[in-house]
Amino acid sequence: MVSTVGVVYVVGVTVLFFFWVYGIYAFARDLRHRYLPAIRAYLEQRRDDAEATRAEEEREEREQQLY
Amino acid sequence: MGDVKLEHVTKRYADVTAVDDMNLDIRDGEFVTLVGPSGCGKSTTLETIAGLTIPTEGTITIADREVTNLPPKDRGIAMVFQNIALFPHMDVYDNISFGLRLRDFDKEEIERRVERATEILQIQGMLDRMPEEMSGGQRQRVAIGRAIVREPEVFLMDEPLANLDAKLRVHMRTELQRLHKELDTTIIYVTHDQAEAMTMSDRIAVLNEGQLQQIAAPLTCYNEPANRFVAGFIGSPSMNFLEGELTADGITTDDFAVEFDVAALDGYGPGDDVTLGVRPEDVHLEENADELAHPTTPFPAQNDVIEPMGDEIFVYLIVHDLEGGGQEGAVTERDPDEQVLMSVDPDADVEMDARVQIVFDRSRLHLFDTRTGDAITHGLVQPASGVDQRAQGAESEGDD
Repeated sequence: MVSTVGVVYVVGVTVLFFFWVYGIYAFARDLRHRYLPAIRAYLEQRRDDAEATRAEEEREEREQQLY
Repeated sequence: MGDVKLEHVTKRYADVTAVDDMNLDIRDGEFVTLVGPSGCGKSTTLETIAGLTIPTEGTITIADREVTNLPPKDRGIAMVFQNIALFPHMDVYDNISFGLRLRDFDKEEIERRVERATEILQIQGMLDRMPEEMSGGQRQRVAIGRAIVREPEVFLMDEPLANLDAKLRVHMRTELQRLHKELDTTIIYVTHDQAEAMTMSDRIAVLNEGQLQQIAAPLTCYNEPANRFVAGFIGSPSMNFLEGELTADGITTDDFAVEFDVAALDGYGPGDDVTLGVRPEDVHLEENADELAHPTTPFPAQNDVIEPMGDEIFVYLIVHDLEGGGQEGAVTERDPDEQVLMSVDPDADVEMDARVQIVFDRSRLHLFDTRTGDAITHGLVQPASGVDQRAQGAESEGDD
């Protein structure tokens, strides 16, 4: 005999299971499409900035040789 | 010996070729100006000479020593930059002597050189001033002083007057000429201002799209441009260009013809597309044709826009399709390619929309290949005889 409590329990667990699974899926998706690219872009930007600073310092040092 | 030689110098940045197979031979004590529009490669060329940029290909020789890959300090050069770049926390004396102190010169030598430089530049009383207390012109003089004390074999100047106002720029132009006379050192100067190039230089090198178009004395570039680019770039206002075709008797355009001996042109003949170049000062009203030794046949034009400049008047003329236009004032076309700019005396009687007859000074006409832009001949007095005809034309004028 299926009781009302049982039905509510099964439906509740199913709903919770869905959101739990969706949460894992959404996190994996965000990690792949948002967080990792953002981290990669940040590191690249930092590398480019360092490179630009180094090039600028080198250029400045070379220019000062002409003073 | 401050001679500078660039052989097949090329500088590429990824897909862009900033300098393309540049060959320059600059003699000791010469004042050479690299001139051209923005992005033509003049600053990059200067930077390769300075050692701020290493060329992708080619060699650079300064004072008979190859310096292509040497750092700037080992090239025996000094450079003055557009942004002046004085140290804000140092006074004038420290700024000028910076390079010498860096190279461990003794104090007496530094003082001697600074004193000489300040004397040349007339800034003796300003040695304890800070840069912020000086005008733009004074700051630029300090920057030049910093270069002078190095006593280099070659001075490089990258648009040093660009940040100064017009009046000061004209003044500094004469100062730089005086400086060159006094120091007698090689100066390589970069500017996009053709007035600076024309007035200061022994020779000017005209650049476009990374390529050297012509290197010659300023007046040679003006009177005998190597191609249409040089003809259009040198001279203000710019040369008029009128496209036409060679016939057996001369050149014919949609609106007029100029007769000359086409057979004398080397490699060109009837049917070839050519462009006639004429400077505004070589376009004359018919009533003044008597003053010319070699006027063309008069042809009609209509005054469009008149610009009084004080010492002269610029008249924009419409020459195209006047016959079909009918009555005076009826021409409505305003295509700039079909306009001819004429420069006349300030007291000339010119009226807006008036129909006039104009003539060109044949001895001052230029002929270019429409396809390549190369100069074919300068001066179309009879008989035509190649690109050095100007001299012959001048002689025959003298005979008259």
